Amino acid sequence: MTTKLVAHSALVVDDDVMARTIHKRLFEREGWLVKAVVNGHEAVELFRQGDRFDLVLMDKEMPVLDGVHATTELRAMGVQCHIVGVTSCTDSLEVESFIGAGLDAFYAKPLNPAKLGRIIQHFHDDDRRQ
Amino acid sequence: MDVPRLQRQFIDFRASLFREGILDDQFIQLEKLSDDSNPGFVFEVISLFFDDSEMLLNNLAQALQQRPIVDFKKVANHAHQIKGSSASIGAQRVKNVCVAFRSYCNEENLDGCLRCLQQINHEYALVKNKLEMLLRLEQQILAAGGAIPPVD
Repeated sequence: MTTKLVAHSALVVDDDVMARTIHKRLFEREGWLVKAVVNGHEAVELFRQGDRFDLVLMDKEMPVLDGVHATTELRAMGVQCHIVGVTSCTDSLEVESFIGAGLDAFYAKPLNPAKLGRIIQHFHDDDRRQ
Repeated sequence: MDVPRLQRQFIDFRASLFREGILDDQFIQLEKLSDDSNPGFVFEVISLFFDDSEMLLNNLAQALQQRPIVDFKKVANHAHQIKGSSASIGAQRVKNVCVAFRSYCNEENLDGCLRCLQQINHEYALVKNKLEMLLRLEQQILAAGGAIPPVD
Protein backbone atom coordinates (compact mmCIF):
# COMPACT_ATOMS: atom_id res chain seq x y z
CA MET A 1 0.00 0.00 0.00
CA THR A 2 1.41 3.39 -0.91
CA THR A 3 0.57 6.58 0.91
CA LYS A 4 0.15 9.60 -1.29
CA LEU A 5 1.47 12.76 0.31
CA VAL A 6 -0.91 15.61 -0.33
CA ALA A 7 0.45 19.12 -0.20
CA HIS A 8 -1.52 21.61 1.87
CA SER A 9 -2.92 24.69 0.18
CA ALA A 10 -2.88 28.30 1.29
CA LEU A 11 -4.64 31.42 0.04
CA VAL A 12 -2.69 34.64 0.61
CA VAL A 13 -4.96 37.68 0.69
CA ASP A 14 -3.09 40.98 0.66
CA ASP A 15 -3.20 44.20 -1.36
CA ASP A 16 0.54 44.75 -0.86
CA VAL A 17 2.58 43.13 -3.63
CA MET A 18 5.64 42.74 -1.39
CA ALA A 19 3.67 41.01 1.35
CA ARG A 20 2.06 38.69 -1.22
CA THR A 21 5.45 37.80 -2.71
CA ILE A 22 7.13 37.17 0.64
CA HIS A 23 4.24 35.25 2.21
CA LYS A 24 3.81 33.10 -0.91
CA ARG A 25 7.54 32.28 -0.83
CA LEU A 26 7.40 31.43 2.89
CA PHE A 27 4.63 28.87 2.30
CA GLU A 28 6.09 27.44 -0.92
CA ARG A 29 9.39 26.75 0.83
CA GLU A 30 7.44 24.55 3.24
CA GLY A 31 5.95 22.63 0.32
CA TRP A 32 2.54 24.30 0.33
CA LEU A 33 0.59 25.12 -2.82
CA VAL A 34 -0.23 28.81 -2.77
CA LYS A 35 -2.65 31.11 -4.51
CA ALA A 36 -2.57 34.88 -3.93
CA VAL A 37 -5.31 37.48 -4.37
CA VAL A 38 -5.32 41.24 -3.81
CA ASN A 39 -8.34 41.85 -1.58
CA GLY A 40 -11.04 40.23 0.52
CA HIS A 41 -13.61 40.36 -2.29
CA GLU A 42 -11.46 38.16 -4.54
CA ALA A 43 -10.93 35.74 -1.65
CA VAL A 44 -14.68 35.44 -0.99
CA GLU A 45 -15.35 34.97 -4.72
CA LEU A 46 -12.90 32.06 -4.90
CA PHE A 47 -14.75 30.26 -2.11
CA ARG A 48 -18.12 31.07 -3.73
CA GLN A 49 -16.85 29.46 -6.94
CA GLY A 50 -16.01 26.30 -5.01
CA ASP A 51 -12.26 26.71 -4.43
CA ARG A 52 -11.05 25.32 -1.13
CA PHE A 53 -7.89 25.95 0.87
CA ASP A 54 -6.47 24.50 4.06
CA LEU A 55 -5.41 27.92 5.32
CA VAL A 56 -6.18 31.55 4.48
CA LEU A 57 -3.62 34.22 5.34
CA MET A 58 -5.76 37.37 5.56
CA ASP A 59 -4.43 40.90 5.65
CA LYS A 60 -6.56 43.37 7.59
CA GLU A 61 -6.47 46.61 5.64
CA MET A 62 -7.34 46.18 1.98
CA PRO A 63 -9.44 48.13 -0.51
CA VAL A 64 -12.78 46.83 -1.89
CA LEU A 65 -13.30 44.36 0.99
CA ASP A 66 -11.04 44.43 4.04
CA GLY A 67 -9.88 41.48 6.14
CA VAL A 68 -12.46 41.93 8.90
CA HIS A 69 -15.41 41.91 6.51
CA ALA A 70 -13.97 39.17 4.31
CA THR A 71 -13.42 36.92 7.35
CA THR A 72 -16.97 37.63 8.58
CA GLU A 73 -18.38 36.74 5.15
CA LEU A 74 -16.35 33.55 4.84
CA ARG A 75 -17.48 32.33 8.25
CA ALA A 76 -21.10 33.25 7.43
CA MET A 77 -20.76 31.14 4.26
CA GLY A 78 -19.76 28.19 6.43
CA VAL A 79 -16.05 28.27 5.56
CA GLN A 80 -14.32 26.41 8.36
CA CYS A 81 -10.72 26.36 7.20
CA HIS A 82 -7.96 27.93 9.26
CA ILE A 83 -7.95 31.73 8.81
CA VAL A 84 -4.87 33.58 10.08
CA GLY A 85 -5.02 37.35 10.27
CA VAL A 86 -1.96 39.51 9.64
CA THR A 87 -1.57 43.26 9.99
CA SER A 88 0.94 45.95 10.88
CA CYS A 89 -1.88 47.84 12.63
CA THR A 90 -1.13 48.31 16.32
CA ASP A 91 -4.52 49.57 17.55
CA SER A 92 -5.66 46.94 20.06
CA LEU A 93 -9.40 47.58 19.50
CA GLU A 94 -9.00 47.12 15.75
CA VAL A 95 -6.99 43.95 16.25
CA GLU A 96 -9.65 42.64 18.66
CA SER A 97 -12.40 43.26 16.12
CA PHE A 98 -10.34 41.42 13.49
CA ILE A 99 -9.92 38.42 15.78
CA GLY A 100 -13.62 38.60 16.66
CA ALA A 101 -14.56 38.31 12.98
CA GLY A 102 -13.54 34.66 13.14
CA LEU A 103 -9.79 34.29 12.98
CA ASP A 104 -8.06 31.18 14.27
CA ALA A 105 -4.85 33.10 14.91
CA PHE A 106 -3.37 36.53 14.48
CA TYR A 107 0.21 37.60 13.75
CA ALA A 108 1.82 41.00 13.42
CA LYS A 109 3.48 41.78 10.12
CA PRO A 110 6.04 41.28 8.79
CA LEU A 111 6.00 37.49 8.73
CA ASN A 112 9.26 35.55 8.77
CA PRO A 113 10.20 31.85 8.75
CA ALA A 114 9.88 31.58 12.56
CA LYS A 115 6.36 33.05 12.58
CA LEU A 116 5.32 30.90 9.64
CA GLY A 117 6.63 27.87 11.53
CA ARG A 118 4.27 28.73 14.41
CA ILE A 119 1.36 29.31 12.01
CA ILE A 120 1.89 25.91 10.39
CA GLN A 121 2.36 24.19 13.77
CA HIS A 122 -0.88 25.73 15.03
CA PHE A 123 -2.63 24.60 11.85
CA HIS A 124 -1.40 21.01 12.27
CA ASP A 125 -2.33 20.98 15.97
CA ASP A 126 -5.87 22.09 15.10
CA ASP A 127 -6.03 19.56 12.27
CA ARG A 128 -5.09 16.71 14.63
CA ARG A 129 -7.72 17.80 17.18
CA GLN A 130 -10.54 17.58 14.57
CA MET B 1 39.45 41.36 -9.89
CA ASP B 2 40.48 40.30 -6.37
CA VAL B 3 37.59 38.07 -5.25
CA PRO B 4 38.62 37.85 -1.55
CA ARG B 5 38.90 41.66 -1.44
CA LEU B 6 35.45 42.04 -3.00
CA GLN B 7 34.00 39.47 -0.61
CA ARG B 8 35.49 41.33 2.39
CA GLN B 9 34.10 44.59 1.03
CA PHE B 10 30.67 42.96 0.70
CA ILE B 11 30.76 41.58 4.26
CA ASP B 12 31.90 44.89 5.75
CA PHE B 13 29.41 46.94 3.76
CA ARG B 14 26.54 44.62 4.61
CA ALA B 15 27.42 44.73 8.31
CA SER B 16 27.44 48.55 8.21
CA LEU B 17 23.83 48.59 7.00
CA PHE B 18 22.71 46.85 10.21
CA ARG B 19 25.09 48.78 12.44
CA GLU B 20 23.70 52.10 11.12
CA GLY B 21 20.11 50.92 11.58
CA ILE B 22 19.37 51.20 7.86
CA LEU B 23 18.30 47.54 7.74
CA ASP B 24 16.97 45.31 10.50
CA ASP B 25 16.56 41.59 11.11
CA GLN B 26 13.71 41.31 8.58
CA PHE B 27 16.25 41.71 5.75
CA ILE B 28 18.23 38.77 7.13
CA GLN B 29 14.99 36.73 7.18
CA LEU B 30 14.46 37.58 3.50
CA GLU B 31 18.03 36.55 2.64
CA LYS B 32 17.26 33.14 4.17
CA LEU B 33 14.43 32.71 1.65
CA SER B 34 16.91 32.75 -1.24
CA ASP B 35 18.20 29.29 -2.05
CA ASP B 36 19.06 27.10 -5.02
CA SER B 37 15.39 26.84 -5.99
CA ASN B 38 15.01 30.64 -5.99
CA PRO B 39 18.44 32.34 -5.95
CA GLY B 40 17.11 35.70 -7.12
CA PHE B 41 14.47 36.08 -4.41
CA VAL B 42 16.14 38.96 -2.54
CA PHE B 43 16.79 40.81 -5.80
CA GLU B 44 13.11 40.32 -6.73
CA VAL B 45 11.92 41.71 -3.39
CA ILE B 46 14.33 44.65 -3.50
CA SER B 47 13.09 45.53 -7.02
CA LEU B 48 9.49 45.34 -5.83
CA PHE B 49 10.35 47.57 -2.88
CA PHE B 50 11.84 50.22 -5.18
CA ASP B 51 8.85 50.22 -7.55
CA ASP B 52 6.29 50.09 -4.74
CA SER B 53 7.97 52.85 -2.69
CA GLU B 54 8.29 55.24 -5.58
CA MET B 55 4.60 54.92 -6.35
CA LEU B 56 3.58 55.22 -2.69
CA LEU B 57 5.83 58.25 -2.05
CA ASN B 58 4.33 59.93 -5.10
CA ASN B 59 0.81 59.21 -3.81
CA LEU B 60 1.77 60.58 -0.41
CA ALA B 61 3.20 63.80 -1.85
CA GLN B 62 0.08 64.32 -3.98
CA ALA B 63 -2.21 63.73 -1.03
CA LEU B 64 -0.37 66.39 0.98
CA GLN B 65 -0.61 68.86 -1.89
CA GLN B 66 -4.41 68.68 -2.08
CA ARG B 67 -6.04 72.06 -1.57
CA PRO B 68 -8.05 73.60 -0.02
CA ILE B 69 -8.28 70.69 2.45
CA VAL B 70 -5.84 67.86 2.98
CA ASP B 71 -7.50 64.49 3.53
CA PHE B 72 -5.42 63.35 6.52
CA LYS B 73 -7.07 59.91 6.51
CA LYS B 74 -5.84 59.39 2.96
CA VAL B 75 -2.38 60.65 3.96
CA ALA B 76 -2.32 58.28 6.96
CA ASN B 77 -3.35 55.41 4.71
CA HIS B 78 -0.47 56.11 2.29
CA ALA B 79 1.98 56.38 5.20
CA HIS B 80 0.66 53.08 6.54
CA GLN B 81 1.30 51.41 3.19
CA ILE B 82 4.85 52.73 3.08
CA LYS B 83 5.33 51.51 6.65
CA GLY B 84 4.17 48.04 5.62
CA SER B 85 6.35 47.96 2.54
CA SER B 86 9.48 49.13 4.38
CA ALA B 87 8.85 46.75 7.30
CA SER B 88 8.55 43.85 4.83
CA ILE B 89 12.08 44.43 3.56
CA GLY B 90 13.60 45.53 6.86
CA ALA B 91 14.11 49.20 5.92
CA GLN B 92 14.05 50.18 9.58
CA ARG B 93 14.64 53.93 9.36
CA VAL B 94 11.96 54.42 6.68
CA LYS B 95 9.53 52.40 8.81
CA ASN B 96 10.29 54.47 11.92
CA VAL B 97 9.55 57.76 10.15
CA CYS B 98 6.20 56.33 9.02
CA VAL B 99 5.31 55.61 12.65
CA ALA B 100 5.91 59.29 13.50
CA PHE B 101 3.92 60.29 10.41
CA ARG B 102 0.79 58.64 11.78
CA SER B 103 0.83 60.85 14.90
CA TYR B 104 0.96 64.00 12.78
CA CYS B 105 -1.92 62.72 10.65
CA ASN B 106 -4.00 62.06 13.77
CA GLU B 107 -3.30 65.65 14.90
CA GLU B 108 -4.00 66.93 11.35
CA ASN B 109 -0.67 68.71 11.60
CA LEU B 110 0.24 69.62 8.01
CA ASP B 111 3.65 71.08 8.87
CA GLY B 112 4.54 67.94 10.81
CA CYS B 113 3.41 65.78 7.90
CA LEU B 114 5.45 67.79 5.41
CA ARG B 115 8.55 67.48 7.60
CA CYS B 116 7.96 63.74 7.83
CA LEU B 117 7.59 63.50 4.08
CA GLN B 118 10.96 65.16 3.67
CA GLN B 119 12.45 62.71 6.16
CA ILE B 120 10.88 59.68 4.48
CA ASN B 121 12.22 60.80 1.11
CA HIS B 122 15.68 61.21 2.63
CA GLU B 123 15.63 57.81 4.36
CA TYR B 124 14.23 56.08 1.29
CA ALA B 125 16.91 57.61 -0.96
CA LEU B 126 19.53 56.43 1.53
CA VAL B 127 18.29 52.82 1.77
CA LYS B 128 17.82 52.67 -2.01
CA ASN B 129 21.38 53.83 -2.56
CA LYS B 130 22.73 51.32 -0.03
CA LEU B 131 20.74 48.38 -1.43
CA GLU B 132 21.83 49.21 -4.97
CA MET B 133 25.43 49.25 -3.75
CA LEU B 134 24.95 45.87 -2.05
CA LEU B 135 23.54 44.37 -5.24
CA ARG B 136 26.42 45.87 -7.27
CA LEU B 137 28.96 44.28 -4.93
CA GLU B 138 27.19 40.93 -5.34
CA GLN B 139 27.29 41.27 -9.11
CA GLN B 140 31.01 42.18 -9.03
CA ILE B 141 31.79 39.09 -6.94
CA LEU B 142 29.85 36.82 -9.28
CA ALA B 143 31.37 38.45 -12.39
CA ALA B 144 34.83 37.82 -10.92
CA GLY B 145 33.99 34.12 -10.55
CA GLY B 146 33.50 34.22 -6.80
CA ALA B 147 30.63 33.23 -4.53
CA ILE B 148 28.55 35.49 -2.32
CA PRO B 149 29.78 35.00 1.28
CA PRO B 150 27.21 33.10 3.37
CA VAL B 151 25.13 35.22 5.74
CA ASP B 152 24.69 34.41 9.44
